[in-house]
Amino acid sequence: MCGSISKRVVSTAATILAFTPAQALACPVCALVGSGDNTWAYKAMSVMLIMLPLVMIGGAVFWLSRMATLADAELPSPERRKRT
Amino acid sequence: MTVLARREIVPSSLLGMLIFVGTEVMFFAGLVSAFTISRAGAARADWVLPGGQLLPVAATAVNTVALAASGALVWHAGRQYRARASGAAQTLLAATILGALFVVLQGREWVGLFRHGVTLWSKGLGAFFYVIVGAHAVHAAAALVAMSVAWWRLRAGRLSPGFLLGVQTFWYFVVLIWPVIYVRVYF
Repeated sequence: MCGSISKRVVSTAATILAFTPAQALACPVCALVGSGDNTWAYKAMSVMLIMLPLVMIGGAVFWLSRMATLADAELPSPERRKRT
Repeated sequence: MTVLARREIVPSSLLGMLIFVGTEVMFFAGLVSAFTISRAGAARADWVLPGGQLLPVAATAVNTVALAASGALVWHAGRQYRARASGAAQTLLAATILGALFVVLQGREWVGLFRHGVTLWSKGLGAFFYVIVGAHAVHAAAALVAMSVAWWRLRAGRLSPGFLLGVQTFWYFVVLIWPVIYVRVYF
């Protein structure tokens, strides 16, 4: 029973793979990649889209931790000792 | 039993708006990315508007000045509000009017282009122009509604500092993302 199921899974996966294109296009405009200029733009925009959220999240974490430090510094000393 | 006291180090409205603005930045980054790659891959002769129309670069520069002035006024209104709440009403109203002027003038340019056959279904530049600039206009209109609500509440003496901070943050996003769109799309 188990063997027949795994055979079906393998044969289904093999059928799907047989029809898989050699290159999967992740976005509609990737189809345009071909000319030199376009490839450069594609790579530059990929870097921008990877870095932008990291920079934004990193900036927000840094800013929040700085605000927390400043808020701690404003606490009266016994309160601060209790928190630390 | 230990009771942990919670302190608000950043207003919740500001934090919520910052998260929203972060997602919107990624939305516009996606649009600008698609525009840049498409433009780089298109032949120069194909990257034009129908009928040889040109994008209104000079008129939009004037609109950009109005938008930047509106951003500066919103910043000034925030300072006035912290000093004396009622003092910010006129500045906030002036900022809203300037922002509305930007949207109206942009709309007028759109109508002009539309009459010359540039539509959302135009190939390449025309379609991208309406999608990117239109998405910005929708954000600007939503922010203007929020600013009007803030002004109304301020006049009624019911404006909370958190609401104003959220509105300010949204408007700064609308103002600061525009130069990126203007330089990328119009030139």
